[in-house]
Amino acid sequence: MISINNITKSYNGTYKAVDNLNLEIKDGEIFGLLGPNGAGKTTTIKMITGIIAPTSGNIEINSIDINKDPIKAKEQFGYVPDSPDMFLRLTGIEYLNFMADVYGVSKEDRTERIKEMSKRFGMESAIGDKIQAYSHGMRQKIILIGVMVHKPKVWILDEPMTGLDPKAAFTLKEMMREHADAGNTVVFSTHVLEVAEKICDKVAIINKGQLIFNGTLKSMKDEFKENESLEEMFLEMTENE
Amino acid sequence: MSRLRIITKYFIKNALNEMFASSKMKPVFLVLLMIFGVSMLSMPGAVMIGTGYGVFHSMGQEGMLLSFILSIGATVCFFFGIYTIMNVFYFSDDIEILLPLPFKSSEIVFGKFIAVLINMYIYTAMLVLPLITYGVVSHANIIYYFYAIIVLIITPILPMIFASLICMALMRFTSLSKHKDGFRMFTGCAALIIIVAFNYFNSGSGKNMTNEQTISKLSEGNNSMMDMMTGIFITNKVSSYGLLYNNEIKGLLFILLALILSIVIFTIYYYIGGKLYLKGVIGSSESYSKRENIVENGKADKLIKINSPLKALVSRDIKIMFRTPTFFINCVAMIFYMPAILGVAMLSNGNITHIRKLLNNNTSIYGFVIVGAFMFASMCIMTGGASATALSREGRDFIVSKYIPVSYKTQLYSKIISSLCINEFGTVIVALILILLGVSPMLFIISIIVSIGAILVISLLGIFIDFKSPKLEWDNEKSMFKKNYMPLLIMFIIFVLSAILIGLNIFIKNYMIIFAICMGVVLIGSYIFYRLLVRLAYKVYNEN
Repeated sequence: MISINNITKSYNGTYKAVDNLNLEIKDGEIFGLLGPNGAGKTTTIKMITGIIAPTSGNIEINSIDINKDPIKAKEQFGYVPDSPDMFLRLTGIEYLNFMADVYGVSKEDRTERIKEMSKRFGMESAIGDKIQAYSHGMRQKIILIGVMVHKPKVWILDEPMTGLDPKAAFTLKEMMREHADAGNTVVFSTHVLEVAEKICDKVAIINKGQLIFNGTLKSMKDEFKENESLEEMFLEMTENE
Repeated sequence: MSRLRIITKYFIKNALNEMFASSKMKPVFLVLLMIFGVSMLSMPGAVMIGTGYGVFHSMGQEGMLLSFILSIGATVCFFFGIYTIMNVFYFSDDIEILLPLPFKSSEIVFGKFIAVLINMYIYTAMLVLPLITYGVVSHANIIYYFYAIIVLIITPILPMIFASLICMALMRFTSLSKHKDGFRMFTGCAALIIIVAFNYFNSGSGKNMTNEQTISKLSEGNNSMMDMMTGIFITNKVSSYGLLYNNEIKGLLFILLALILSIVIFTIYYYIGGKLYLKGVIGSSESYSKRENIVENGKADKLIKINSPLKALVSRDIKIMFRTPTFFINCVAMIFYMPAILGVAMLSNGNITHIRKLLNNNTSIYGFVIVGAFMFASMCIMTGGASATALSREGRDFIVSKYIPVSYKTQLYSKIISSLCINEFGTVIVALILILLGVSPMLFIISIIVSIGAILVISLLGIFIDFKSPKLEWDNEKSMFKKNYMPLLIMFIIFVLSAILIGLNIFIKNYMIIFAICMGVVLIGSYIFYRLLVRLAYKVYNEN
């Protein structure tokens, strides 16, 4: 579970990238963060993960405040950043081993998960090579496997579908569903409204740092005309702002 | 505007930008400063020309000096050319943008060649001082200096064409393009070795001049030695004749011949190069991968190992340092560079036996050895070693350090340990020198302790400076090392500290007290920097 309480992030004391945001992401939910470019989605995610500190407000992950007890809070989640170009000079397996070491995963568990995940994402023939030699989608996959290797309860994924081939995107969506159904939390940001429409239990729409909608897709449809698509509703909301 | 002009303009602009963009100084001043710096490097050469001219002139071999100057210039351009050409022609990021555009490959080659040529003129600047010296001592008239300018312009062209053809052949017929990192690392280290070797031969020059053949050649007079010197760089030979006979009409003819030769060879290169280039460059942006199913063949089981977070962070850091050519050269290879230069100076003049004798006779100079070990060890990592870029090396990967559940102290310790793992190579070098000097076991142990300590304190200082203002936003590793004032600062600290220690040694004359003072400096310094670092690391990893 993630609770975001009155968080604001301002730069130079004037520009507010995120403005007094409140969200409650419950266990068992797939939660989608939607919004146009520069709306504040990545800033919000970076605050949740402790990469940047909020100017005010607090964030709790499984009831642990990320700013008060950062190490314990960080153990709760796995994070996929928006750019997968990381540790390019390590091989895939070295990266996975590194992540497993950092999260203290036992040898048996990591061996089993690395094998299983690399098979599921079709990376068995790639994990022995340097990440530098990977395509964008393969880099995304290795980062995803790196998150799953320590089996975190909370998944925080920033644009996780970018660059994935249809099969991998399908696998990921399937895994997100399985993870949420097992009583865990999945929060992700996306531009692709179809993805959000298909798999999200709840969505939040952020525009110019402010929350303009938070709820189920059904409640959104109730608020707008019944027969409007998510795309039409999204455009209407973000343009009216 | 023709395409050739467009692309050439682009490359020239790009080359100039790369040289000057990171500096606040005006480009004109920077060029002058660079040329001044490089020409100062050739001061020993100029002195040699100045003092040697009389002897060579009396034997009628003064032309040899000109050949010597030009062949050094050509050789330097050739070696550095291979490195630069490989990077600019094949490994640069613009290739993927240029290849789909409607440029002929010979046009790309032309543009890139000019860009590299501009770069090479900086190295050619090292010929300026020796050529001026030659002009002064030979009482040359204004025409000589005019010819010299033309010669300076021509000199790098042929060596670069050779270097470029070698690169093209390598890329066309080998799988080198798949091992870019390896190649960069190899050529980078080779360049350092060449500089050290050059230094060695420079300091030992003249020693091998006694064989009979040389003497008989020399005695022939009439500049007969020039033919021996010039070798494959034919334009060099013609240019040096042009300079030699500057007051005769044949001098003019030689200079014209050099110009025509350069143009003809370049034209041939333009066509051949264009053809060779395209075949080699296609696929050069691919990276090497084995595509081996290590899960199936069981290799994965061997590769999956369990480590503590601290060990995992240290090993990640060291792996990246060894696998990234720019990091390897700047952080690891440079540790051996200063000692190699200094060591060569020690070895070549037979100083070792002299010091050995001194050490056997009295213990009063033990203190100097201890201070020497302190200074030498610090000098090894003067350029920063692995510590001065400990955090900056992470670049954008630093984001990972912020979201992994590892405490800031563990992350700091990992930086200290990985830096020391590399920097303490300096102690190994000090140990080797001490063994060569044949010091007593007692002095050996004390000096080694001091050098370990010296490297510890300098490394902590380096990490502190890097944590204070890390450069994390870089696109390529090289830009991280530009505008690095760290070596100057460290050098200043080392010299001040060593001067104080040497001064104390003169008064105190007890090496155990000197040892205690050195260790005092190390312990107090390390403690202060460590405390400061812990506070700083908290800020770096937890705040923003």
